[in-house]
Amino acid sequence: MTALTRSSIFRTAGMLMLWLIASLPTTLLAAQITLVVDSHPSYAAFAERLRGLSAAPGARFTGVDVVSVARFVSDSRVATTLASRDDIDPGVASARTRSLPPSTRPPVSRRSGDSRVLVGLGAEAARALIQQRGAEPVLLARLGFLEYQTLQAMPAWHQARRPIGVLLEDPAPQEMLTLIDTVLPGKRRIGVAASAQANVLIEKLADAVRTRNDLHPQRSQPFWTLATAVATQRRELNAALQRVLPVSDTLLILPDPVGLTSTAALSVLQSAANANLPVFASSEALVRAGALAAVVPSEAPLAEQVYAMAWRLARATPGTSLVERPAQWTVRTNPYVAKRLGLVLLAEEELAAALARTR
Amino acid sequence: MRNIARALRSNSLQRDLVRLGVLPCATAAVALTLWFTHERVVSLEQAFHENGTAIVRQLAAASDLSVYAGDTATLRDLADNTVAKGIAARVEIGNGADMYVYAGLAPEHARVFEVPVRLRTMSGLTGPSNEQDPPAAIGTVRVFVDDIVLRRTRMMSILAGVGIGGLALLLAWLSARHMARAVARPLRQISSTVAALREGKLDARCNLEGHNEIAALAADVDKMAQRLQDAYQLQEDRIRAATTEALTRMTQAEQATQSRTRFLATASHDLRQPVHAMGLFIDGLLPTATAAQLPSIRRLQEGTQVMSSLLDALLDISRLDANVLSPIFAPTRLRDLFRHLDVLHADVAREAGVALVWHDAGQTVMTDAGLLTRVLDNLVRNAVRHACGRVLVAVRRSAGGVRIEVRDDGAGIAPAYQVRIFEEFYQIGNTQRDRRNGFGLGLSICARIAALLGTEIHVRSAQNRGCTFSLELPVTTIVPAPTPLVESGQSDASLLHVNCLLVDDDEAILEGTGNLLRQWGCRVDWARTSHEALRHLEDNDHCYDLILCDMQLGGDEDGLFLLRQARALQPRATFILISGTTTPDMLRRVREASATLLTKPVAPAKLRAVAGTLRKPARQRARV
Repeated sequence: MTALTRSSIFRTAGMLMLWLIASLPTTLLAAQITLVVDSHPSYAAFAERLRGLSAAPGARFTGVDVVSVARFVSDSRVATTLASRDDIDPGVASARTRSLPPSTRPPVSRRSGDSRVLVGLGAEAARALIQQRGAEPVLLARLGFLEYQTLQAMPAWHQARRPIGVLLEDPAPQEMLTLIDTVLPGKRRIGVAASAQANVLIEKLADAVRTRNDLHPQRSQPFWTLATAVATQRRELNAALQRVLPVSDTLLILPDPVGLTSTAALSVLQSAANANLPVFASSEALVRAGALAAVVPSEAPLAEQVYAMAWRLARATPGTSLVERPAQWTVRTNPYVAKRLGLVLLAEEELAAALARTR
Repeated sequence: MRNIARALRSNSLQRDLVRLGVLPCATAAVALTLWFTHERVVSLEQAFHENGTAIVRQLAAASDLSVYAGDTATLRDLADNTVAKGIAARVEIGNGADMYVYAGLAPEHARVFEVPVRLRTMSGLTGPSNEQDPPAAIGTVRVFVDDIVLRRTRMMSILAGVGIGGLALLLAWLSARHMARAVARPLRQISSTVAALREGKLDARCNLEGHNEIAALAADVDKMAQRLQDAYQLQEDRIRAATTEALTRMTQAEQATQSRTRFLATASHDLRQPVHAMGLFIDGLLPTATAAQLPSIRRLQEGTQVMSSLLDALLDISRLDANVLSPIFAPTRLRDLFRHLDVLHADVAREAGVALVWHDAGQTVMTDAGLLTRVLDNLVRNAVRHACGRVLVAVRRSAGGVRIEVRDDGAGIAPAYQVRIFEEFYQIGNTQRDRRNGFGLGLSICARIAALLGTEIHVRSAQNRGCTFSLELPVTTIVPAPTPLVESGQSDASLLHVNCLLVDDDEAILEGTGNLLRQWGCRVDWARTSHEALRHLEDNDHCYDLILCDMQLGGDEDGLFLLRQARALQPRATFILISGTTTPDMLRRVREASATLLTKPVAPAKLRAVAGTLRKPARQRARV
């Protein structure tokens, strides 16, 4: 009786294991991406690109649901409230939400039992995803370094035991220096007027300058110098620029509150234009607004990189953390500014190729 | 300037006062309206210009970095927003080379504002801004602003200005009109009162109440009018009394004149009858008188002529007093008139040894030929009577026409008598009252006839140097008609062979006239009454050539009644009335009946002359 019972137990466990093993690929093949985007218009194009990848033959994800940040936050609150009232798990809560009116019903159509990866585009979406409770993998794409640091400081970041991936958008200081050296050879006096929050970026930039001077000393070329001025408030920006401009050959706008705030960035661009100095940035918008050139992630590779990271996170174990930078970069230049400055620039593709060679 | 002043001047005090009040107000209203409207229009224009300039400058400032960077998307957004918000109708932004952004359409009435785009200098970055050396232009912003609102507002401002000005003008006019009426009405009342006083309405009064200067003036006018009325009333009473007295005296004088006229007419009629008969009988006696009787008959004939002349004179005076002599002016050839007078006076002048010379100068005058003949006849008769050897009747040119002078070389008239010779019955040198020298009525009658002819007789004389009587007459170039003057007084000795009807209630006249006519070879029937005369006229066996009828017949009918019957029964007969009465009423009736009248006493020669004319084919009517 005991042997029979024990053999039956083993047989049953074996069958359960086989069922689990057999059912694991099926669950993974049913994963999908929920893309949470903020209101930035460029993200819509990125979402479309991501959808295109999902719709391609042999795609790993079954689909891409696009949700705005506001909608995602609203849905999350409803789900949390129902879960806390009924004290049931989120799966049940999802089932219960079907009886809700259409306006309060979660818009994300997800089959029961499907796994999903939450992908957030931009800082706002990243903040919403981190604050949302759950075990689904989260990928924070197109995130700035400073925002990434801010999110890391949040308690929700540490409380979550789910896989988290981060795809930073900012180019590395070395890449910026490479771009400057490629576009304006010999113009190595770099000026930076930044906010107080950009100390980390400035330190990294200073390290990069120091490294360049140490690793690539050239007699024919001057040393790289970095002149920085910190503006703790908006009204101090002009004073900071006044200190930086006279000792700089070019200005560099960092992805800090100065670079990400339009009025402050425009002030820097205006001052540089008045001083006839070229400006380098890490945003295509800044190039359109008056910067000479910028290093920005290439859109298509970036989408593929997000897609791949999401797939990896979907298979990752809880607590997994991935941090990556864009694999390919594109250079954007402003020919009007170059003309005003009397510069002759290489084509953007050539500049991007030069940038890629130095990586 | 004078024309303007004349145009502004009027005859109406109220109008002048209105103008006085309205003119400054109108000037001020027009000036203020023009000024404020101009200021308003200028300020609107300036505001519009400033607004356009501000818009384009703001756009230039907002687009400097975008132009610098070639950010066409931002620039397009900027332009689109500007146009969409209605700030401008069209916005054009360009860098002058390879970038051009625009939005909107340029309206038909738009004003263009354009400024260059320069990079703004950030405060404190590049030191103090140097306005004299601004940054180089990196582009251009051009803004088209529709000025329809400006034009509409400007039109509304102009209309409002005109309306306010017109309203102010209307109020000023009404106010000035009211005040002018308040001032002009009492003045007009005073003026009308004065005008009424001037027209004789002395009871007119102003009757104005008040305590101002005009009321005081009106009160003074009323007082003056009251005094004037009192004085006029007093004077009128006196005049009325004097007029009443004068009328009484005039009536008395007129009655006296009429009495005298009636007396003369009656007396002349009563005297004419026997004188007329006497003349006829005496003339009838002459052919059969013996040599011893002839001187006495001549004396009788002479006395009869004197009495006849006296009666003629009295008859003339009676006619003149009765105002029945109305001259008939017609062109009169003086040559004919002088020839006729020469026939009348030639024999007398020859007997007196006076050379009668006529000099007519070929002139024709506009006058009554008969009356002028009477005047000249009298003057020539007097001249022949007083001349020593020569009488000259001459026509001289004068300022108003011609002057006819009758000059003699007699003793002349002393200046003291020259005025009195035209008085009735006044004679010089006839203290014995020799009636053969006239009665002193001739010149008086001549002067009155000359007055009827519109002239007067002047006398120029000196002692022993003769005398000249003259009168002026208007000359004419109209050719005169043949003058129906009386033929020569010389009797025709031939027989007449005329059938005559005599009608008179006086037996003696019937007999005397009948005898004369028979002596002249006429066949004579007579009648004493109108009935008898009618029987003769109705008798178809008798066809009369001449009917002599007395005016006053016995019974109700008179000579005019018989005249009408004779014209019907014997239309070929010549009807002559004979009358001794020359009352104005009778003369008027004769004239209205177009009858021929001989006044008694009728000289036999004259009667013969009248009868002699019947032998002529064209009968002529003698003048009354």
